[in-house]
Amino acid sequence: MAIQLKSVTKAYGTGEVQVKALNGVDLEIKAGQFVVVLGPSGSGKSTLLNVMSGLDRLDEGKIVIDDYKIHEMEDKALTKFRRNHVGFIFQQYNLLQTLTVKENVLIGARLVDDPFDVDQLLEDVGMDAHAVKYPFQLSGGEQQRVSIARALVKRPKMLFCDEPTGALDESTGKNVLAILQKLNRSYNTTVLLITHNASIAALADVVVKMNSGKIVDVAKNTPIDAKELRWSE
Amino acid sequence: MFFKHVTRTFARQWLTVLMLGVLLVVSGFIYSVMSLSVSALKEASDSFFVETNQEDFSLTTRFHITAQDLESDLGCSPEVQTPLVTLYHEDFACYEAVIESRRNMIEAAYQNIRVEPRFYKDTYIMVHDARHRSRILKDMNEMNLSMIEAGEYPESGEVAISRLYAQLNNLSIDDELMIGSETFLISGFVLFPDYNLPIFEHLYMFDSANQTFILMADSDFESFDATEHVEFAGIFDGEYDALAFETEMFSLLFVEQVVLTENNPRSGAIYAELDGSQALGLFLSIMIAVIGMIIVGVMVSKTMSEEKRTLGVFKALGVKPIEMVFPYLVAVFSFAVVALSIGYLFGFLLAPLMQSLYLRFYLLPEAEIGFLASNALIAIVLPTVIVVSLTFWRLYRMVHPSPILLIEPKMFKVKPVKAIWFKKLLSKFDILSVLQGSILIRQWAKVSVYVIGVFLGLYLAFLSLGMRDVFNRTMHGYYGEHFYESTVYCDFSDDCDSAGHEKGIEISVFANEQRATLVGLDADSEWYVLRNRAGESVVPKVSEGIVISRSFSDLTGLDVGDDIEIQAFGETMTLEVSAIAHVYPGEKIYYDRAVMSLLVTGDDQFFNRLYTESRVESMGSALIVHRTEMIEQLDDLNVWYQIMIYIMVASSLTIAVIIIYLLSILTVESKYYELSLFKVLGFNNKEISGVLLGGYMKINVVVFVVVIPVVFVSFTVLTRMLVAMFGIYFPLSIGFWDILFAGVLFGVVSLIGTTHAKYVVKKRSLQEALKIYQV
Ligand SMILES: Nc1ncnc2c1ncn2[C@@H]1O[C@H](COP(=O)(O)OP(=O)(O)O)[C@@H](O)[C@H]1O
Ligand SMILES: [Mg+2]
Repeated sequence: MAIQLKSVTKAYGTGEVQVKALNGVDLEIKAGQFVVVLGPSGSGKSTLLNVMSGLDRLDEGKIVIDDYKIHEMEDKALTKFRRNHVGFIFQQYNLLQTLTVKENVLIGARLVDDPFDVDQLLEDVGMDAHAVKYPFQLSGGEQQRVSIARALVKRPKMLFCDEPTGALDESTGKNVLAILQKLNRSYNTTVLLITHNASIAALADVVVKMNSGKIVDVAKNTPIDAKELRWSE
Repeated sequence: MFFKHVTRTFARQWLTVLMLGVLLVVSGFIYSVMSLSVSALKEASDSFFVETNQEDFSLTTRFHITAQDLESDLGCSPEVQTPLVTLYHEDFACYEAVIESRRNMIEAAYQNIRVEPRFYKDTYIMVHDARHRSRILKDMNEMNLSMIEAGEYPESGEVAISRLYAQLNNLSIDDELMIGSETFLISGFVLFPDYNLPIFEHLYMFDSANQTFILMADSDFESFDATEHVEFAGIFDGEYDALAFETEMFSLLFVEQVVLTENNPRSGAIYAELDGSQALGLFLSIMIAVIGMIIVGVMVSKTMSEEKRTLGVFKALGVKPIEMVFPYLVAVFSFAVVALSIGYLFGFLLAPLMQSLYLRFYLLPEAEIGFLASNALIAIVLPTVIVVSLTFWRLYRMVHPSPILLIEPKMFKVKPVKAIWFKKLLSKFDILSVLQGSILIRQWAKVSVYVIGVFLGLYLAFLSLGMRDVFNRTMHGYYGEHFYESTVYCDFSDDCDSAGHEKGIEISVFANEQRATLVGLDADSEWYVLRNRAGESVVPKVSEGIVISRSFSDLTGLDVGDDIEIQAFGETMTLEVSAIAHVYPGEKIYYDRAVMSLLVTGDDQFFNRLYTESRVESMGSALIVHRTEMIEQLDDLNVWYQIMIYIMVASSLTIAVIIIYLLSILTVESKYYELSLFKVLGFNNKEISGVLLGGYMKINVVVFVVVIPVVFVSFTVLTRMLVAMFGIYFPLSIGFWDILFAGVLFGVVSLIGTTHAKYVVKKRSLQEALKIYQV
């Protein structure tokens, strides 16, 4: 899906304590691009992701994703939009502790009418051997792969990842990024990945840099293979 | 600073806190109102019984001359079977000699007893055009002394009556009163301690508005125109063995009935009832308190889970656990003390009202209700200690782990319970149902608390509903059934003419060592109605054996076909139970009148009751009781009983409602994590509510279905236990409409609870939900 942002503004709080988390953001993302958003903590990355994905409302401006005018949509419509088109991956894996690996993915599959085959997907993310385990029996990287499978199973056209490797070490982190890259390439899924780890930018088609609620730079890039990534915090 | 945080935390949950407060207030109230009024009454009664030298036993003797009477030197020689009434009229000296000789023989039959005759006469009084029954008691010398509550001891031309009767009939001291055909001046109000006398007709009934006892000067009593009756009162001067004593007494031919005061269902019933009320009060308040504890537990857990991070940060800053816990404890402590004290105060203020309710049923002296330290301790201190300890325990456990674990936002670190079979079962269902089930299993502790809470709440509701109709069933329904209008008491009268009426016999007997009234009926009786559970008449069954009342069956465990052992007419008969009549009039058993008559007089003509089809106003000197009046009086009494019951029903229903409501809210709110995740993933509100609430709706249905058989079983057990422990017959039961009512109510409350919960789900903004994910 293609994404278009025009003068997007989002502020928290009122009066003197008001913080402009997004201050006039313009951005264009083409369908199937792998976009990495870089910026220091508090620069508005998460807020950007939230308003784009319909998790949060914007104050001013326009966000259009394909034919959807996100800025005009009601809560119900936004929920439906997220449900049908958007996948999320967070720094915290946020799996349901009461369910097994496979069941967690089934929860994602439950959201749409024509999900991927769950077993096949688990194999793709390398978790097929752990299908009947519970989250507490898995390492952080393994849990993140389950959460990726949960996001992917409903065939999202867009994937939003907020610091997906933030809690992972180098090798598991690279592993997770490799899966995301493979997915982006084989299904043409638009990926928007937020990170404060600049080295990850090497995977992107487009690198967006943010500071103080503004986009300060948008650069094209020729992505390298995730396996070859040189990890540095 | 930290205190402010704590008070704000609780203020945010004002509704929960408020409901919890109500629960604590009600718990404190029920306990204190019951125990304050009862203990004051008990104390006053104890000293009343000591002061008036209450009898230890009383004897009813035969109304006829027996062979044994003739063994002693009477100075006259009446024939055997001569009614004492006849002797009283025709040879007063001989009558007096018989009484005196009976007294001597009784005293000689067992060591260290003193016996004194209790003389009384039954008559009518006219008050504001109404005819009320009354019993004139002649004051005794040694025991069962009268106690003047107000006014003066009556002199000639004066009487003292029951204070309550006077009050209920707008009579005051110095008013005139028409007794029989004579007019007396009311000099004061009086009480007597022998409880088998002031109660007419029904074992448990003393209707203070329509009947009274009367104390007269001795000379007035003797000259009053009515048949004199006599019972013997007695006192043990040393140790006694009840069984040996009764055996000795029954060896005297003229002794018909022996009642030990301690076993007397009438005098004993007072204590039993008082004890019973106290026990009931305690039971209810414990139950309510337990429910309160559960809710405190859930609430504290929930609040604390939300507070976890705050606590973690404080701990990281170096605040000691106890310093963090302390403000919460102070808050909970003050809250509990205030709420319970309010409840106690209400109880204290309303205790006199409660007491007057008791005094409508029992003729006991009024008692001053005072502050009782022990009472306050149980009502306030005990629950407070429990609530505070519970909070402390919960908090301390929570604060104990390292600060990192507390700050860590992930809420669940606990291993899931792996119930494979359950999962397998669920795997056939939709994944959301699997989730629903697994959440319930995972949170088994919370779910158990919920189940217990709902169970108790429902049980309480059913208990109240079960009590609602007891009075009607025990008394009113019984009298309402019959077709006869008047009952004529012919024991003491020669004036009874049975023509056109149905004959009956009523005597007191021991049946399976239980005191009972044996009623002799003709098998073809048309006006005396007894039906079994199926509604078929069982009157004809009296010719096949003994028909017993449902209450007697409950009391003794006897069933149709069992043998029943009856001590009557100086012998022991073993008969078969031929039917159970579905009536609850106390301990009544029924047998064939003609057979009983043969045992008494040798022919089949004997009777001491007449049941008349239409109202009979008078029949010589015989006492007559009208069924419709009885029902009216019962209705009058019933109003009071109903008020008491409805107060109970209302409060327990309120409690039940609060519990169910609170629990559904609390339980849903504690699902913050799942709720947020689902929102973010794109599930809609309906699906989320389904997952989070659906499980509880299913539980509600299961608990409701389970609680019903439990109610039925426990009612039977409780009824038997009340009989065994306190000798009270209190047939709890619920019917279809009660279940329907409770079901509808439960449904409505659950619906309100879940609607509120759904609102919470809806209200929880994505903004808030997101905070869980972004560190
Ligand atoms: N719910 C909120 N309420 C108030 N301020 C917020 C909220 N969420 C974010 N902010 C503020 O908005 C700014 C941008 O935050 P965020 O988008 O989370 O930054 P990043 O993800 O780049 O670290 C920060 O200054 C943050 O404090
Ligand atoms: Mg962020």
